[in-house]
Formats: sequence, C-alpha cells, structure tokens
Amino acid sequence: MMAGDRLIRESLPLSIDRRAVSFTLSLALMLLGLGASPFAAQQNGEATASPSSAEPISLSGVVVNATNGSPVSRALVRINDRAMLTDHEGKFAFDQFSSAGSAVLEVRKPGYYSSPEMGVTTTMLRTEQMMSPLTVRLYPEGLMTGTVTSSAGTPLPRVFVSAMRSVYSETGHQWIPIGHSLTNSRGEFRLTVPPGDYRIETNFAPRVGGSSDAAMPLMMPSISDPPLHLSSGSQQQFELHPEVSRTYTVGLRVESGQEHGFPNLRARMTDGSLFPVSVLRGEDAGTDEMQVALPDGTFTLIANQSRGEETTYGEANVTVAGQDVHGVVLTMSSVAAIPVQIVRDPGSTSDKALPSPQQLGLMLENINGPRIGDYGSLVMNSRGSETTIRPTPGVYRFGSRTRGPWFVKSATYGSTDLLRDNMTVAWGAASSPIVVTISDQTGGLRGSTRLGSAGASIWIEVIPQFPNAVPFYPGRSDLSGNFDFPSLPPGSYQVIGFESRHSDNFRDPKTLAPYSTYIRNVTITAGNTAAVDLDAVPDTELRP
Amino acid sequence: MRSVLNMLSVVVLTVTCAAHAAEVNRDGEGYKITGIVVSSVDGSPVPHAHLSAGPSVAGRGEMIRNFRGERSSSGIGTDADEHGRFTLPLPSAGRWRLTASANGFVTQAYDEHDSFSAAVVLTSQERTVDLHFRISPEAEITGTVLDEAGEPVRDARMVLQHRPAASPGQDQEEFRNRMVVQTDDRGVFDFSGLAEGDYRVMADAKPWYSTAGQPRLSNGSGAASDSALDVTYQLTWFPGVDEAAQAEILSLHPADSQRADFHLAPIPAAHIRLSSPLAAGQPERRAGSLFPILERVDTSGSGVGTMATRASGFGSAGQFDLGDLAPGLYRLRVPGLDQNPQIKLIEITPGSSRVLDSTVSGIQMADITLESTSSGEEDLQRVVLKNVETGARFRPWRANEFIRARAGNSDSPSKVPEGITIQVPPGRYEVSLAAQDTYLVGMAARGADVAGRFIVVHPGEVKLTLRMAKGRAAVSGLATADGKPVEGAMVVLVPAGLKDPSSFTSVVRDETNTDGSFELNDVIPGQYILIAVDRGWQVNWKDGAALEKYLMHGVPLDLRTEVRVKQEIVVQEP
Repeated sequence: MMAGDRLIRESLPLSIDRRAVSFTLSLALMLLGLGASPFAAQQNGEATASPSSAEPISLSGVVVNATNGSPVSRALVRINDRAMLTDHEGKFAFDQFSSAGSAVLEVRKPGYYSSPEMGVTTTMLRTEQMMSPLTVRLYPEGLMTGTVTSSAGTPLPRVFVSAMRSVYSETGHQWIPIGHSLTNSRGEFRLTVPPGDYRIETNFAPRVGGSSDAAMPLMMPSISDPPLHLSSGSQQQFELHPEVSRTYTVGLRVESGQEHGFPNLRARMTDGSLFPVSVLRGEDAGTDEMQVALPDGTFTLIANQSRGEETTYGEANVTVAGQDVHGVVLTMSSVAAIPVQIVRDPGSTSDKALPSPQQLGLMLENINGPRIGDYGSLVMNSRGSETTIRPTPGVYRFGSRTRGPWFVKSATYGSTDLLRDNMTVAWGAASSPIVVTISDQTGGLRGSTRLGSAGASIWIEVIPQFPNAVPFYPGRSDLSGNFDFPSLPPGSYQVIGFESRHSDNFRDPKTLAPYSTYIRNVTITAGNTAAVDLDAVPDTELRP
Repeated sequence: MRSVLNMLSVVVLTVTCAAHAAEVNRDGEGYKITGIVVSSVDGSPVPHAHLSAGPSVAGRGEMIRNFRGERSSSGIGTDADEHGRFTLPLPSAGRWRLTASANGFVTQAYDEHDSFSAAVVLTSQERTVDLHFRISPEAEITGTVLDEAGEPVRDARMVLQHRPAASPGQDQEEFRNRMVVQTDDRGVFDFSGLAEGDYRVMADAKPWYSTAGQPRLSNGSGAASDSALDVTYQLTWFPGVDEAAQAEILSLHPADSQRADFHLAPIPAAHIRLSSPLAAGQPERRAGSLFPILERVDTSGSGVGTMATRASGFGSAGQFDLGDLAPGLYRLRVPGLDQNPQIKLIEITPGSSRVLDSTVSGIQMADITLESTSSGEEDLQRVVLKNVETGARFRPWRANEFIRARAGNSDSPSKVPEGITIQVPPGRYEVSLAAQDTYLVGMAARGADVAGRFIVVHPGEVKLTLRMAKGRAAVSGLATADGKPVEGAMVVLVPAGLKDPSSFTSVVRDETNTDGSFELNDVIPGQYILIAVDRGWQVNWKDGAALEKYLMHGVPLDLRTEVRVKQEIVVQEP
C-alpha cells in the first residue's frame, strides 16, 4: 500500500534529522554546561557593567570575515530586540538605539560562526563600546567533501559518513559527531563543520548499492594518527576506500525476558574495534530469528538495552566462513551494579556534611574510541543511602565535575588508581567497589588579566600538574580583568589566558609549548589563596 | 498479487509474517527460481544483481520498503553472475515475492507496476520457474534552492511527490509524498534512485534570518520591531508556483536526470496569537503539556491530513505567538485542561491581517460531528472527507490517542464525550471509509446536503450519520487465455455503478502471478464486472472510454457480504 510505502520512505531523512538534532543538542548542552558553569558566571561580572545613559545613540559597525577581512553582506545583526541585515559592504546601523548600560549582540549568517570555537553566539557590549563603530568578525565554517568508493572506484551509495570532532573540556576528552551525510548515488558526500580537529568516519554499510556486499567501517585519519585540523574557511577533500566484503546472513535470537524494546546491536572485530550493526529483517514468524549481515571473520556480537534503571547486556561470538549462519543466541542479563563508596579524607574538616555523588558530579566516560553511537557517559546516582553505577563491559575514564568546596583526592577500583588509569569493566567478572576519597582542604587562586596593555575579560585555564579528576579548570575574568577560583585542590598548576575561547588538550605539554611565555606556574596550598597576573594569548597568536 | 490498497493501519505493515504461506517441502526436492536479470531499457544483462525472496502473502504488506528505501527482503537471497544469470534455491513450494537490486537500478519486485507485482508460484508439480527479470536504471531529479539574494537556502525540506499511472475508472491518480530530503550548504538537493513515472517537487523553507523563529536576546518588551525581517516563504512547487495544481509534472523515464531549481521570494509572515488555556491559579505541573500545536493542513491533495508541524511561539503572560506563517490552511490544537483538546481550522489568506487572534477564525468552517448507526468509534476514526474540487483530504483528529498519550493514567476516563468530529472548509466532499473490513452503505446529514457518497457542507454545525456494514468479500481465481494461465495480467473488479454517485463501491485491482492466479480482497459487497487485461499496465486508462470495450467481455459478479468467490477469467488483449 502506498501510504505505508510513503511513510517508511519519509522516515529515512526524518530519522537522520533526529539523530542530528540529538547530536547537536548534546553538544550544545555540553558547551552550555561549560560556558554557563557557575564558576564562569561568577567571574563574568557582566551584569555589573555601569548603568549609565538611557540616551538613544546611533550604533553602527561592520561585519567582516575573520580569515580575510572581507565584508560579510546579509549577515543578521541583532542587538537586544532590534535586528537588521548588513548591506553589501557588511555595514549595519541602528538609529535611536537605547539601552540600559549594556546590550546583547548576536551576529549570524549561515556558513559562519561567531567565534572560532563553537558555543559562543552572543557578546555583551558595554556602553563605551557602543559609542564607536563596532567590527564584528565572523568565522567561516570548514568544509569536508569527498567520495566513498571501492578500491576499484565503484561509487558506494547511501553510506553514512560522520565528522567526529575532538573536544576537550573540563570533563575530559570526547569525540562528538558534529556533521553527517549519506553518500549520493555517485558516492559523494559533503559536510560543513565548525573549525576544529576532526576524524571522518564511515559506518558499516551492509547491502551497499543493493548488493550482497558491505562497506566496512573506515576512519580517516586512522586512530593511531592525530586528528585533522580544519581551520576556519578551509576545505578538505577525502577519497575514502572502505574495504568492500561479501556478507552473509547471520540469524540471531535475543533472549532478553523483556517484551518490549529492541537492543542496540554492535559487532566487535578481532582488533577490538566496534561498529553498529543494523537488523535487516525482524523476527520471522517461523524461526524467531532476526537477521544481520556480516562478512567473513570472527566477531563478538554485543547487545545492550536500557530500560529505566536497568541495563541489560549480552555477548555472543560468531564466525562467518563463506556461508549463512543461523541459531546465534544472545542471552541478555542485567548489568551488575558497582557500588560507589564516598569516604572522607582524614585531613578534611569534620563538621561538614558529605556531598552527594551528584554534587560531586561523579561520572564514568566511555572511551572505546571515536565511533558513532558509542560515546556517552554514565553519571553516578544514589538511591537512598546507596550509590551504584552500572557500566556495560568496556573501558571508562573516571571523572568529576565538582566545582564546590569538596574535591576528589583519590579514587580506586580494586587495584586501579582511577585518577591515573582507565577503568576496565569485564563481562561477568566480580566487581569491587569504586572508592572515592574526598577532601575539603582546598586553596584559592585569584588575579588579574591583561590583553596587551589593557585589562580585559579573557578565558582562563587552570591546569593541574598532578593526577586529578578534573583535567583542567576553565574560567573567565570579568570585564575589568579580575578573576577568582575560590576552591582548587592543593598542588602545582599552570595558568594561562586566551583572548577568545579555546579548548585543547591542555594536559599535554606539547599543546601549550608555543605559548610558554604566557604560562604562569603557581602552587596552591590548603587554606591559602595564591595570586597570579596573566597576559592573554591574543587571537593573532593563537590562530595566525 | 494484490496491493494492500485501503488498508491503512500502519500496524499491518510490520515487515514480516506468515511464513506458512509457503508449504513445507516434505520430500526435500529442490525448489528454485532461475532466470536472468536484464535492463528494461535495452534488454542487456545486469551483472551481479542481488535477488531476494520472501513469502508473498496477499494483502499483507508485501510492498513495504524498509528504512533504506529498499523493499523488505527475507534472508533468502543470491547474486546473479556477470551475465545476469541467477539460481535461487528455495526451501518450499508457495508464492514467493522476488525482488532484484543492483547498483544504479531501481530495486523492484518481479514484473512490478506501481504498487503491484507478480508473485512467483512454485508447486510440487512446477518446482522451477525461469524468469526474465527486467529492472530499470535509476532516474533522478536534482536542483538548487536559492533565496531572494541568490544565496543558497540550507536545510530546505524538499518533498518529492509521485503519481501512479492512471488506472481503470481512475483516469487521474493523486500525487502522494514519496521522499523527503534536505538541501545542503549550497542549497543543492538530490532525489535519486527513482523509478519512471510522474513526479512533482515542493520546497518547504523558512528564511534563515526570519525574526519570528529566533529566541529573544533580552527581556525587552514586545516583539522584534523590524518587520522587514518578519517574513516567510510560501510552500513552493517547481517551477515556482504556490498552488500544487499549477506545479510542473516531471515525467521521468528510466535513467533520466532532470533539474528542478527554485528561487524563493519572501512574503510578510502572519502570526496567530492565543491565550494559554492555563489560566492563573491552575496547577503548574501540567503546563508543559499545554503547548499549542499548529499544523499546516495539506490541501495539495497529496495524501493524509497534515504535512508540516509548526510548533513555535513562547509563552509570556499567558500569551502564545505562533509566527512565521505563510497563507494557507492551518489546524490549531490547544490541549485543554479538561482533557478536551480544542481543535480549530484557521485559514490565513494573502489579504489576512498580519496578526490573527485565535478566537476569530479566518473563514467559517463546517463542524461535522460523526455518528454511526451500527459501528464503533474506531471505524469512525477512519472516515475520510475528500474535497472534490481541491483534492484536500480531512480525517478526524484522534482525540482519544492524544488523551491517552498525555494522561498516561489508566484510571482517567479516555472517552471523548463530544464524539468524533471533523472540521472542514465549506465545499463538496466525497466521504469514504479507509477500513479493512467495515464499509459504508449509506449516510444522512443534518445541516448539510447528502447525495450518495457526496456531501455539501456550509459553515456551521453538521451531524453526519453513517450507515456501515461489516464483511467485505473476496474474489480469487485463475486468469487464462486459450486455456493457458497468463502471468502479469491486470485483473479488475469494476463496480456496476462506477459513475453512480450513490454507490459506495470502488475499483479493486490485482496483478496475476506467474501461474495466472489472482486474489482480490477486501471488496465492498455489490454488483461488479470482473475483467482481465493482458499487459493492462500499458493501456492508456487516462482515456475514460478505454474501459468500455473490456467491460463488454467481462464477467458480472454479485458479491454478497463475506463471500469468497472463485472465478476463472479470460484475459483480453489490450
């Protein structure tokens, strides 16, 4: 029937849209979490800008392309509740503009970002800034184009291609899918992304071009190489040749004891890499088997399913050798809860109530690699007096989002020091508790920041030089250049400031090497507040 | 093999069922389908095509495509060799639905015509069937969407609509949505993998800079002062018209590549203002579920009800502002606190004021309350009113489902006290019932004029009483010519009163399988003439008179409730 036909076909792009939305959303939330962390807000001081003239002024300016200075026409300039498009010279002007001391400015145009890093879209303007013409810089997006073909050059249509962005934040390092595309009938794809560090990834694509073949997943650059830097306005061309293998049908049955829902299915190859597997056919009335397509080789099929609090997990090994395989059974069972014990460090003040795991923001982050459908973190939740976490088998990094008076002094899982090493959760192995020792013996850091010779609001990174649950502490100085980090674990730190928001792997000494003259070393001791004055790394040096 | 026309339940469309359609092979002798896959254009073999077979169950979702846009397939498959030859062993006798796919070709079932195809029938007498399987090279429609400044429009929702070929008694089929894609950063879109046929393309986009859709930057008073940016784009059909009827019809042949470029021009956007039903003092906890939903009603005749959801607007001081609206017909649903959603149609015309108050409808609508003399609420939900002039279809809003979904509370009464209603603009409508077993036998109305299956409504209250019956009939049999079964013939049940407005019957079709068998299910009881036409898919049915000559040699059938008729039919030459 045509109605059903249409419904299902329509759902293809729609469903992908939804994925895109959720990807973007999670990213936005993450960045929002960063930008809007109470700490940053505390140091912004934006709301305290001098309340002065309500006298209407004429506010004008120009919007330029940050990479070459050329004007950007038809950019949308919004200031408070006024809006206009720039003219062909990139100019805008608002007559009779009145504000109560400060104003919110946002400039947008498809294909551009308002900051070289994602996430910042609005700027706060002070009255004195509004008096002279403004220059707003927009950063053109990066473009990745390419083809996905077999090694013989045959186009591979309808292969899902993702741009995975490398993001460092105070919670650690993540690979975030930022753009996606299906190859067209000529195997071409096209992805526009914000400037940054990327890998391109193609999904496992069974029945490629209607054949019995599958395109195997591919990553470029490969996992052992550093990611590719795509600078603002640049373009990168890819010629991807995933391995194309004949596939066979694998019939499998999931024994879950659950009536509803369908597990998330993945296959692990012998080299440890994982890829999502799609079900080509649902359960047959006759056999109860669902079918997936796999090439020759030995795989571990992995299924997991979450339902409310409970997560179930199952594994089954399957070897495909030149013919269809039937009768694979995946027995799902509940993922064991690992207890989390929060212990007070003997040196800490004894009269304070212990914070909850939520207040400490304790989490485990899946680090199986930059693979679609394989990122995410688990937050430790408590129920009554008990705190548990239910990680499915895999490798995790322990982290904490705490910014309060308590910090994680040590964390162990069996013999694993979770502040130094990753946590490996094996299937079926008896689990020891995660023991988190916390302390409130913190110190403070404050100071002032300058850009050139003037005090300015800049982005600050405070980077512990010791194993720590928080890899680095970002913050921002207020409009006059003052900042204050009231609670930091004792230890030695590197502190650096940037003119614009910049995220990178600050724990890697190589990252900051080019800016060594801007780095300040500081030691924080419990109960004391250290002071440091910073010269910000200007944008011209950060992104020459 | 029959299409599942008139069965709209999506539930029925779940992919698999009934492996029992195939009899179990008891003696283990090899059943198989052999053949060659060739291009429909020049008959040249298609190398390395993939063939896939699954049990064919008449009227059970055999035409359903999976999420990749391919037809659902069972695990039974094989690949053709470099000369296009294939041998597909099968576990048993039975009716098998066979599909072929190959890079650059449209995935098709054997002898597929629109939503019909021929099942391959294996029996213990005929264990092997050899086929000449023709598949068509893919066609495509590509284009670019640019805005008024010649800049690309990103993320425009591009809708491809397809119209099946004319059929007996239906000299003009309707367009239905086939595929939706989005434009890329260059404004480029690409509908590929298309079968031959008639298509049209629509662009649905909003100006990226439109102020209505943007969150406010400050807590300033009132809406954006710059009305120059309070604009929108009308739904636009290629080559740049805002009426579906004026759209250019792109007739694609196999391997065609056609272009459809768009230049969108902004028009002032309208707003609908409404007060939140959540009056002061009401419990806060339900506020989230009280967001109004505004949907554009699809009046292009392209199918079911609505086509785009526009849920926007921000509540401030109990007011919602739904902006970004182009002229058109909209349906506003405001969930009520008493579980009775308020639903109303609002028409925005080019002459409408920019800001409409939701309490005043642009035009006066007919409020039709449905009633049945015999049947339950469920059947009333399947009533369809089709505007005879515009082709726009209207269905009842499923208030029940809404309440169940929202309340999530099994002890709350889910009965809709006010019955089932349809709101439609004034006009002449054809009433039908999209049910599987139940059918309409008559209707009467208060506040409107009824003639057979047609109703003329004016603004105001209408009570439409439907007489329904259960027990559709079925006809099956063998289509032969000179005593031999004919494969791929069109079998048609033509109502005796085809042109009679008082008749509730409609045409039912099937395509014969490889053994000449056919099955016509879910037939509304009544008087019919059964015909079979060889190569009937090539007959020009746009010529309404084409049917006449076949009817002369047809078999009259009087189909009573629930009968299962076996009928041989002689296939006529086209």
